[in-house]
Amino acid sequence: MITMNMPIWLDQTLNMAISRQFAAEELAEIAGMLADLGLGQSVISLDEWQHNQPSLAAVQKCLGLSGLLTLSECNLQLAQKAGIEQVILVCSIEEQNGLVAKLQSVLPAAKEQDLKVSLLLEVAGAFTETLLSGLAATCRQYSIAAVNYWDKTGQGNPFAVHKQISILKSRLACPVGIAAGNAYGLATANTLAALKAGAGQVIAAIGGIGGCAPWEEVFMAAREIGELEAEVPRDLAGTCRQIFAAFNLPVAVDKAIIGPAIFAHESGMHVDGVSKMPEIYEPFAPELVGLTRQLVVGKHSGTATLRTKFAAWGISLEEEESNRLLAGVRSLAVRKKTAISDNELRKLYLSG
Amino acid sequence: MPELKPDFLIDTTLRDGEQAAGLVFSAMEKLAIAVALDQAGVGWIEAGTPVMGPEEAEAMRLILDAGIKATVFSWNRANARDIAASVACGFEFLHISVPVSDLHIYRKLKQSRKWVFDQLTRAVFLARSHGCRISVGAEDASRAEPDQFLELAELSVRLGAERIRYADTVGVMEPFGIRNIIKYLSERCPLPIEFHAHNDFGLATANTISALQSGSRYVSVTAAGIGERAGNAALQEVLAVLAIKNAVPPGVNLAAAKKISCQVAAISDRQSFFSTTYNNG
Repeated sequence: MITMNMPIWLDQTLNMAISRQFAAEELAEIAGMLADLGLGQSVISLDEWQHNQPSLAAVQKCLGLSGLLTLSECNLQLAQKAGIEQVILVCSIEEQNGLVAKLQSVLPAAKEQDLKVSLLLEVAGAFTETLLSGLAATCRQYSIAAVNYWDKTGQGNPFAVHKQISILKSRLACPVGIAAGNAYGLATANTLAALKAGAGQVIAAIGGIGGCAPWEEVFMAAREIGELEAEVPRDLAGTCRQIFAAFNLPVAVDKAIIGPAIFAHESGMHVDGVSKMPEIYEPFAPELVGLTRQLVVGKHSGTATLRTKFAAWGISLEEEESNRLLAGVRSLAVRKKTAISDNELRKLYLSG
Repeated sequence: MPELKPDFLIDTTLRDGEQAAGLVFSAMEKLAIAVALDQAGVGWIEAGTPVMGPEEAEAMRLILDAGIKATVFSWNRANARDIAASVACGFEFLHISVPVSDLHIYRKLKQSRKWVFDQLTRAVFLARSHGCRISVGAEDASRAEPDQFLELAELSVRLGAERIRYADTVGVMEPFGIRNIIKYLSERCPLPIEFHAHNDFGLATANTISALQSGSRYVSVTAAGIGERAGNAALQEVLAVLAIKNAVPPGVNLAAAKKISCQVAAISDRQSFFSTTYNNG
């Protein structure tokens, strides 16, 4: 068992919309759906926003916004232009040696503009003692709101992330966050490891859009495996699909947590199991995320599936009958290279 | 990361992968996938379930006749029909799966643990009487007690099995828990352990890597991670992570594995089947 506390969710889905130059109304629509999921904050790139400069007023009615700025250029005026009061300074690996000095040079201006400042630090290996102590002092001096650990390459592993987050937490007075890259499919695991180490904020996106941790995986894993106390938003899967639709993207049918096929069972043993007690083959109830269970008739079906289907139609199948029908189902499924529809099933029964 | 043996990968694209609802591979596709996996350096190929019928058995025979270097084996429940079907196909290595959790034994099979052990004993005896080699699968191991898994392993080794599969059947494990349990079990288990992940929370790859780091000798994967529900650990992704750590054993080809995964992803597309499933509010 791993215990975790509810982090602040920093969404990056909206950032994808900004990059794609969505109009103000489209941004507001996505923001509304993110808020429906319980996400309170989004981070957007101010350099990307600068291209079209869409109004963010409607977005900010549902979400708090933080503006991402590179530490090197640190174009703080953009925050004011966008009407944003929180900025996240993005520090690359190359800048790490001169990080503290650079921070000392830009933070006074930020303070003057009354901006709340957080950091997003690209990581590679362990932090040096010099960096840690410099960072701790700077964070104290300028009341840095949070320091986020950024595994940009996605090559981090959960045990290393846990260790580094723990170190940051022990040295910094401010909250520590995680932004896990997903190039190797490890972002969810790395994010959970960070939460286990006490990370107070998580940067993620719906479906992992943009290459970061998939929010719905982190949320549900934290809740189901990590025993995080959290209410699941109504129709989580449906809302995520709608958000994807706003980008003209389909959700992969077997996408964890929200894919339309994840509660579709065809294999005879699995259908038999879930019919007796769903938890035999389901990690949580489909209704929890707004999906429903489907029993698919196909190559892997067993006679139990057929008996269940026909019983629902008021027909009780004999053993001999169901065996014959099953052979027909398997043949047809292999010929068609897909599952069998109810009508095809009925025709098979009538012709047998 | 301990040094991985060249045959550490057990691919189940053609069995657990094909169990993805609505998915059917033709016999020729199965053959092509098996040959490609073999050429990519995969050591073990779980090809299917012969008892499923003549079409499946036919596909199995094609693969067994293809001159593949990898060990091609079948999946079986612990009963005489399954074993007989595998033997009739010509399989010389059989995987026999039994549930190991109370939930599966009592609520799914409605039997006792003793009954399960008797079934396994008879099935292994039958298979070995035909000269077949055996691996045993512990279904739902992640929701069973460690002692229950070890008890099954003790029986399995006495019966002559060569390895035991620890299945995280509903994908509820996470890397820290995996590290603890696999370390604990590998220190006590009389058989090498194969870790079998599912991706219900997006953790299959991370769990699989954690298992390899903690003493798992083998891992189950499928091309592109296809499989039941949210799928299995993805062959190409697991290898990509191992490549970062310079841990891919000689003979295993990451580029070939990526290619197979792209091809399998393409032929297992089920978007149209599930596009009308956007039900519910």
